[in-house]
Amino acid sequence: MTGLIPLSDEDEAQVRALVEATWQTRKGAVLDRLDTLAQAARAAVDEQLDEPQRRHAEREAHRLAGSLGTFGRQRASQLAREAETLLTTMPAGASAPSRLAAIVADIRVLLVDDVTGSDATDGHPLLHVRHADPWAGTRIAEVAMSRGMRTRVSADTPEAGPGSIPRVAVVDLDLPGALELLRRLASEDPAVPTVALVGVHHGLRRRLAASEAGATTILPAESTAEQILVAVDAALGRSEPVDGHVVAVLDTSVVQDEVRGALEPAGLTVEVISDARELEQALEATKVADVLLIGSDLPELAASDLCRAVRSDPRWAALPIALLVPEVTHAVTRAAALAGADGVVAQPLDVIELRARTVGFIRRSQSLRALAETDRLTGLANRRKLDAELDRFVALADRLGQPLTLALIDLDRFKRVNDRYGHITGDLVLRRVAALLRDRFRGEDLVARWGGEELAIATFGMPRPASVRRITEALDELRDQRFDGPEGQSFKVTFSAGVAEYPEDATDLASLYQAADAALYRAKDTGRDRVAAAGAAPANATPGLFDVAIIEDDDILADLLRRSLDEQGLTHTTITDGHRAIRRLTGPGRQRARVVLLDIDLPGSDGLEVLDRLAADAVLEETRVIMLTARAGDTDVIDTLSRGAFDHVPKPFSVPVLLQRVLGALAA
Amino acid sequence: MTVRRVLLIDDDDDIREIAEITLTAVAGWEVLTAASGEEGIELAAAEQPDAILLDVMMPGLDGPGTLTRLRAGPDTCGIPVVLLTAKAQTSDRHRLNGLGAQGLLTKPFDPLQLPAQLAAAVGWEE
Repeated sequence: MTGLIPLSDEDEAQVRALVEATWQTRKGAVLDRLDTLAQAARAAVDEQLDEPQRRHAEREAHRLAGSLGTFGRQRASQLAREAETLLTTMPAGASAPSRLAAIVADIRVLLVDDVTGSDATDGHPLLHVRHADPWAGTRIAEVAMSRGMRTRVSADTPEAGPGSIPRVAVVDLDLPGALELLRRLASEDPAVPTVALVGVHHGLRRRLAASEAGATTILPAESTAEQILVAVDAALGRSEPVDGHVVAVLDTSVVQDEVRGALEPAGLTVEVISDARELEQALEATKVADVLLIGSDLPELAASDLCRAVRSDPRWAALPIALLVPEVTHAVTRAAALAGADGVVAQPLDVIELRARTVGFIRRSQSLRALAETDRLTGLANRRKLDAELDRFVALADRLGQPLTLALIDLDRFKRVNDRYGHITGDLVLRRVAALLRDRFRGEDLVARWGGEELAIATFGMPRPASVRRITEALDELRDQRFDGPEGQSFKVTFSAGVAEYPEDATDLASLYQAADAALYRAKDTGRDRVAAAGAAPANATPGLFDVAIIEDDDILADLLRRSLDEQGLTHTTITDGHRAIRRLTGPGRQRARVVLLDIDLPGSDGLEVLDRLAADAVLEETRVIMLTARAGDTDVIDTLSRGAFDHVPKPFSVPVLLQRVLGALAA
Repeated sequence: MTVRRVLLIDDDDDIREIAEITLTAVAGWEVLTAASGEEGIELAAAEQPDAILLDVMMPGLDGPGTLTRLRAGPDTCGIPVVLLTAKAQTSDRHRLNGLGAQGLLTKPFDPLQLPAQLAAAVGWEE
């Protein structure tokens, strides 16, 4: 209906070649444009970037992002977009210019090394979106592209015939011919997985029809593009080799080879045990056994007895078990069923049957397990999964003499985020923090949502300092991130964490939880926004975070303040003028202080201006400002407090009194 | 298939060239280009294209400004306009939707997709 004939593969290749040829002629001009950015970056590093040059560079970055992406240079396009954002917010903190310079260098490397041609086509699965509503279709395509897929959108169901076959497709059932299209895609070899969108008004009958036509997944038409892409990812995954671990108790090498030969080509790992007595150990050591196969001809123990023994242990109650039997008779299947087996497979083994059964078990149990063990908001493991894994880790630690750690993490003042910005924003924050932590840990570590705004991380074979370091890195990264409220307000989030190690800090799981919890509370009590280790001395201040920043141009007074802070064991830094204070305390990469003592009379920018800038940059979310006012006039005081200062102290002041105010602010 | 005439208004030569190539090669349409809003308005009035693809962010007269003038001109008020923007944020969309454009495409775009997306946005059916 768009009046466009779908391109054949050949035509598509031709147009792409044309685009590529254009790129080659344009490349020189693009590199020149990059020079403008490089000059701006240099100027920014030297603090010489003036407004016209900044605007010019911002504009060039914007254009680069658009044209590089259109030429299929997605990575370079993303970098240019990042440069644009940096330039838009410039000058913002000390690290921005060097980051900008690094980005420009990266883009140059990408473009100069760019000999292989477009990076947009190879290895990126092709998604077809057939949607009656072009706006909705385009939206889905955008999200898909941002996830590295190539997409084709149309508001049309193409006739059967040549044209490239997608790896996966989204089909809107409101399109005429949609069912026929689903059927066609399902009959391709290999079948193309499909996500069908069915409006609520269509009712169950239409869903059934879609399912009969071979739709892999059926979603309500009202689903968001993000939800649809989750289903697309899952549908793609389902067409791929299954990833699972099979434990097989088999005593003869012939059967062992047969089982391996049937399952390993399907992508499964097979762990063979020839002695039934080793089974418990094997099941415990495996992270997840997906299927247990038990052979028939075990000495000393009948297959059904072994099956019963495994099944009666609550840890393996849900494990799919199949028995390999010499002959499938009524008596055999009954004995197997009574012993708790999920199925029997006859010997000699039929390779196809064994593979199909095993893969079927695995898909079912994996999807059930994923549902039962996943926290729906964050996608992390839930508490139930955490408890199960910790049990397993403790058993492993006892046997192998390796440490395990448990970290409890609590978002700081999270209730305030929910109250101020709403629960949708709060949920988003939780998801981002969850992803940040997940990225910092290994695949075998478990990052879980413990409940509410608390997360937990269990690691095995990683000592406490390593776990503390990873969490601290995540916290550093979080501090540099900004979150947006529903009305565009910008805010920041931190967390506190406590880390304990077994057996160093605890004798069992319960006391391990207690030790981690106690460390978490210590982190909270000493000012939040930090990671505390169990048993260690109170956590030292995080690098780059001071208890107090003194912004004062009077040397003698500053010195006096420093000494009294030293006596209290508080860390501090001194800044002697307003401009420098703004530069150091705002923007990404800024230095942080829990309390700022701010002189109202400063060279450069005065105290009120500094205060305004701290407020504008959301620094006051985490920092309390005590203004040192020269005059005790009401206007100065009201002015100061209304602009967001925590407290004010008129000059001249007594140092002990000021110190009390500082301690009060630190404790608040 | 009808031969369509599309006017592309974008200050970026790369985008103009690539869009021209694909609209011509993939769809077989005739393409006119303008590098600024002012030039585009003049060309639109004189040439009466079937659709206008209009960049949002341009120096001088920007996309929304150009669109407002196109809508106010007696010769150009009936020509469908599709905006081309780098910013796909929802807030931006809401603002741009209110301007009376037929659709919104985002940069960077896949060159091969451009004709189909433009046709879908304008609602061209054969």
